[in-house]
Amino acid sequence: MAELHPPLSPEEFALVMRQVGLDLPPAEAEALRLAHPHLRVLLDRLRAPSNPMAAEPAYTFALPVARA
Amino acid sequence: MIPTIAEAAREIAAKRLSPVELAQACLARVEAHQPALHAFIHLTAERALDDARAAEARQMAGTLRGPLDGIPIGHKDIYETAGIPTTGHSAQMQDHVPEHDAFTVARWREAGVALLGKLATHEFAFGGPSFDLPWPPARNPWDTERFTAGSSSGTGAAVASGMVLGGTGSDTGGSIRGPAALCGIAGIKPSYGLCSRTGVLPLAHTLDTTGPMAWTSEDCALLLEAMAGHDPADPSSASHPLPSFDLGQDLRARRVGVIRHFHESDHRVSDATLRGIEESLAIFRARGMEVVEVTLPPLQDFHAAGWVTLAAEAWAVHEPRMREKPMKYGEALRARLGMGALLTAGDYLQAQRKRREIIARTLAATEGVDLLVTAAVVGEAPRITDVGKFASIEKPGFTIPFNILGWPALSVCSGFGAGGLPVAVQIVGKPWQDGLVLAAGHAVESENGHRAKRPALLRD
Repeated sequence: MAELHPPLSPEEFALVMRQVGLDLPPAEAEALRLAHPHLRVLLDRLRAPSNPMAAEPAYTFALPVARA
Repeated sequence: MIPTIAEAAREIAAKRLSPVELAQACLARVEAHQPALHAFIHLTAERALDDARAAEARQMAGTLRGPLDGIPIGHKDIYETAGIPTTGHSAQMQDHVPEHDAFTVARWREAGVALLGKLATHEFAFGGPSFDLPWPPARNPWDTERFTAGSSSGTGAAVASGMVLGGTGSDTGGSIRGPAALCGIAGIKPSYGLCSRTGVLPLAHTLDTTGPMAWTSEDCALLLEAMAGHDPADPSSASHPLPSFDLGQDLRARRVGVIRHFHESDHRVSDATLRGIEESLAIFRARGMEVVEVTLPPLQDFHAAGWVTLAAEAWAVHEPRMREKPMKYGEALRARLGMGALLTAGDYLQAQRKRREIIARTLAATEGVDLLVTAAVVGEAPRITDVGKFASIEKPGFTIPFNILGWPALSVCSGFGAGGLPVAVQIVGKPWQDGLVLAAGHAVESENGHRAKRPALLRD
């Protein structure tokens, strides 16, 4: 299993909660903060290996210099 | 003795079994075991008897509609039922009474089923087990202190205890196959697009699948054939000829790929689960099937793409209520939806990129293979009070890969563990090979003998 990141600090996590508009009871917010590293493991995995720009499906244009 | 659907259908057709008496027997089991199992959240006894009387009239007139005529069933309480409350097992929708049947509910009604009621689910098919909802969670008939798995928890408990002979489930990450496995029954997540989702409360639109649960694969085939078919109102419903549900199809020369790394190293399963898988493979070999080993992307890759997709899409569904009335959800669902809220658009798009990548790699790795085999769950059911609200994110499950792929996947009972509780094997096919998957499950059940054993509470 991948190693877990340390949880965000309570202050950092409170900021994230405010940004997404979640208003949970303090005990539930704290449980979510402590479980959040499991989500970060999944997100790291989605980005590994990272794709080069040319592998990005939206990369459909050619640079003018390449056409010259 | 509790008949299977296939057995009951034969007896009803031969006029040796009364649909009314069959419904009464199921209702008697509901009365005896509901207080311990909490499988139902809304019982429709009068409706069941009315349906059964209508079926019996057709039986006497020689106008039976088919093998489901007069068969007692229940619907997971995310399937809308006209005039009958449909709550999602949530206080958020406690007073919701739909005007129309879901497409699949209507299909079974037209086939003549006797509807006993609405069955417990994890809240909105995502949050559970929960002890702070208007109804308690369903309990496992093999041991009422144990978890049924979810989210089709009531259907698993009701079928295993013979309260109904079959029922609907839904499967977004394993919600049919998990309860089927822990409750010792059969359940298939059909090919994505085979069964309509119109009138079924959504969870995650690119993963949600409706499907049947019953005591055997043969019964699942009868139920699935009746609920499958194109529905123009559901954008995910495929306009495609239905697969054959012939369980007698020749399995010889079919090639089975066993995904050993899933259940032996990516997430090691119990000895009893391993034994059940190997015994199932031996049955396939004895039937003339070739067993080969296949290597797919790591289970953790499927888990990451699947969990992030599911949580993000579920958040999109529930965001308005989570902002306006969060405390009307149970704590477990609030927690899981909260995880979804923490995802960004970039996270979701990365999950779709990974999903495309692992689909392509899986297709390449399974070229020439007809079926796949792995575990359905790790082992026997844990104690219901030991299931954490973040359990599904912490360790990869064996079922969500086939939601990511959209392929049909079946869980069947493959034996019993040291605690005397059921374990299961998962059999998977390529898209639209649902009939082949069920035929393979039927072969396993016909040989392994485990369909003869019911939970001890039925013998008390």
